[in-house]
Order: sequence, then structure tokens, then C-alpha cells
Amino acid sequence: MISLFLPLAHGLLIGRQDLPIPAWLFAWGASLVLIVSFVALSVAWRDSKFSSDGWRPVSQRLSRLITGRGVEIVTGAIGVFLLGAVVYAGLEGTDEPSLNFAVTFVFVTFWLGMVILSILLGDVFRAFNPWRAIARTVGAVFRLIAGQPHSPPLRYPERLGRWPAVAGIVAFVWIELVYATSGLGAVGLQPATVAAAALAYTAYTLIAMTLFGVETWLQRGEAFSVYYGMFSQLAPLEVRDGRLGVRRPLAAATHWARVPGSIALVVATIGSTTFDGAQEGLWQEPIGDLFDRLTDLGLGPTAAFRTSESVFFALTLAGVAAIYWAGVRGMRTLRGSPALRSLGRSFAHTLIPIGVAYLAAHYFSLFVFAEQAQFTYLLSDPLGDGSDLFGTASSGIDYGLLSANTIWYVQVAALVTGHVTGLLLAHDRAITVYGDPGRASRSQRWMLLVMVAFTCLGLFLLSQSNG
Amino acid sequence: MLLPLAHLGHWYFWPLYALPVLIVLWSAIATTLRERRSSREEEKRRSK
Repeated sequence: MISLFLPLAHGLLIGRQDLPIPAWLFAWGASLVLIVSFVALSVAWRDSKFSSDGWRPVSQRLSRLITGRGVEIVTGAIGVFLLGAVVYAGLEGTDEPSLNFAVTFVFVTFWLGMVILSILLGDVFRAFNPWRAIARTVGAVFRLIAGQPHSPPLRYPERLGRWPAVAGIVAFVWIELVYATSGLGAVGLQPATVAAAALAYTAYTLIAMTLFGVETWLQRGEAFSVYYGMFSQLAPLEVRDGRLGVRRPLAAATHWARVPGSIALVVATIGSTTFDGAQEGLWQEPIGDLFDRLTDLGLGPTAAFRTSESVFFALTLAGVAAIYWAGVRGMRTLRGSPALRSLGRSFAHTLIPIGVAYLAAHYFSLFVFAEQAQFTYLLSDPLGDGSDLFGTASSGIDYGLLSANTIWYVQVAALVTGHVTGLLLAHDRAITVYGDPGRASRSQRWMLLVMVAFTCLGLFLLSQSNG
Repeated sequence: MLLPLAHLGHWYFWPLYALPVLIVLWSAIATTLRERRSSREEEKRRSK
């Protein structure tokens, strides 16, 4: 996570008080909760409840009030304004990342905050998406001038699926975790770099939208739309054909991973958080060793650091993918199982709650602390030039808001809740895939293994970076 | 002399975190093998 809040990401500033039991016992306890949940699901969950999401529209009036044209224009304008504010603050504001609106807004408020909104309220980002708003405005002007709508010149290759979005998310995380925290004074994420990246991404997105069509690119290639869209599958609200409706929470996720690249996206989500935790603990020494070797070979320190971090980032993504595929391969041992790839896609959505759990566990304290900065001094003095727009420029961050033990308990609770939810989704899916609850339960021993592995890994990483 | 021990905390406890994973893995493999064996025996019995 961004360098200025790095020590806060896992509560390092506040030394953890003695826990009533050793930290590793929490991993045992969490595993026990998962095993008990597995048994309970095997006994009590006999029919699939998530095959259909049971979407039903709310009243026309309420729907129009929330999703109407006027609201769409206002939210789109807010999105464009915030994108402009990031670029302007990045280019014109102070070079000090902790005092510039752009860095905290992009990597904390937007990156983490939008995940929370997506889970609670559905695909909120679609309404605020600045690139969608710009493209639709340009499209409307084109239609006015040309007298006909713009038709995209290229057909999107369906086999690419969500892979362009995966590439975008990995690139974003790489900038955040590797480029930004290269650990040396000479490098790091400058606000101007954030602005340049935002401009480059804007140009890339608008070109892609022109070539493949706005909606197609939003569903497949626009990294943030696809990323937040994934989390919104868990939400109880969805706009369908322009009408707001209520649906069964979690249920929409069941059919989410049919498109190629979906597994990679959810693996990238978990892997990036895992790497962020590991680089402060588990990977610290190996990264240092590789750095030494590379500098011995004559590579400059910055290049050596970024290369070593990139190698371990890639290894982490591969490791997370390996855990998932090991579970899927295990399920495949059950007679009459579908083909491996099909089975992989069938259960990929069960990793979404784990992605949420990892994000919550790793960044909960960072979010609480950084948002205090965001809505006080960074709001009043976005450029860090001494202005005080709302009278909150002199406010600070209250680090006493959360004790280190509170942070730890929230982390444990987030991991357990996320993995039990994943287990629930997996069991429900298995009933559909395997046809009867008995076979479903037998197949799910392997997903239990996946869930226990991710839980223990998460707690180990947190104990390392917290300790 | 104490320097190598400074990094011990990074690795020292990992077996304790790995233990639940190994137990579930062992249980999954053992049950799968047992089921396979019994289904093979069942098939043999039927073919006789």
C-alpha cells in the first residue's frame, strides 16, 4: 500500500498488546470454524439456494428517482470532476504524497472505498465512471452532428474475455505496490506520476471504447468497471435494463465467472493483497537476497529493487492460482466431475468473498486512518499549498481511534467471515454441479482445503507484518 | 551474534499455521483414497 501510510496498513504504529492466546492459535480456531461450517452445510444445506438470484424490481418511482437520467448526468459529472481533481492536484500540487489529494484519493478512497460501496449497493461505479460519462457525452455529440450513432469499427474478440481488465488491475497494483514502494529515497510514487497514469489510462480507455464500443469495453476491458463489477455480484441491489431491483445477496455471483479471465481477476485480487502483506514479512528477506544478487550482476539499485519485487509479485500470483487449482484438481477426483476448466470456472466466484476478506483484513486500519486525512486536511488543502477551503486543513489523524488489538480482531473476523461465505457459495454451487447433496459434500472437502489454506496464509501474513 | 535471530520471527511460527492445512489435506486425500478403494471393490464384486 502507498508508502506514506505503509506503517499503518497493518497497525504497525501501535504495537499490539499481548493477545490472550498466541496469534497462531487464531489460525487453528479459524480453521475449526471452517470445518464446523463445512459439516453444518453438509448436513443442513441440501438444495441450491443461489441458482437464481430472485431479482425483483422496486417501485417504478423509486427506481426512476435513483437511476433516472438526471441522476446519471450528475453522478457522471461528479466522476469526471474527481478525475480532473486527481490530475490537477497531481500536476499542480505538492510533491509530498501524504499532503497531496491525488495519491490518497486514488489508492485509498477510490481503490478501497468503491469496493465497500459495490458490496453494499451494487455497481455504483458504473454511475460515477468518468470514462463512461465522457464517452457517452462524446457519443451524444457525435450523434447530434452525424445524425447517426457511432458504430465501433472492431468486434471485441470474445476469447479475450476479461483478460484486458486483469492486465489493467495487475498494472495498477504493480504501480501501487512495486513502483510506489521501491524502498529507496530516489524513487516512489509522486503525485505527478499518479496524474500521468490517470491521463494515460484515460486516453487508453477512450481509444478502446471507440474501437470496441462503450458497453463492450465496460463489461470486458475497463479494469475498474470489471473489478468493482465483480464485487457488486455480492450486493443485494442491481439495475437491470434500467430498472433498480432487489435480489438475494451473494446469488448473482454464481454465474459471474463464465467469461474467460474471471479466475485470473479474482486470483489477482487475492494475490495482490497477499503480496502486499508478504513483502513486509514473508518475502522481505528473499526480496533482499534477490536484490543483492541483481546489484552484484551490475543492475542499478532502483531497477534491481523493482525487478526483485516484480518477480515475487508474479510468484505470489502464481502461488494463489496454484492453491485454487489444487482444490479444483482435488474436486476433479470425484467420479463424474466436469472437465477441469469448466470446474474451475464453476467455483471461481467462491473466491470473491475471500478477496473481500483479504482486502478488509489488510487495509481496514489504513482505510480508517487515511480517510480521516482524506476528509479533513486533504479536502481543505488538496494541493498541499496551505489553503483551507473547508476549515479542516489543520485537522490530523486520530491514531487512538483503533487499538492494535481491535485491528487484529477485525482482521481475524474478516478472514473467518469471508472464508465461511466462500465455503457457503462453494457448497451451494456443488449441489448444482454434482446433482445431489452427498456428492456435493464429498467434492467440497477440497474447497474446504482451499479455504483453510487461504485463512491460515492470511493470518500468517498478518501476524508477520503486525508482529 | 543475535543478528540472525532477528529474522527468526518471520519464519519460526509458519509450521503452526501450516498444521491445520496439512490436517485437512491429509483428511481429504485419505477419504478420497478410501472411497476409491471401496468403489473398486464394489465394481469387482459386481463383475463376479
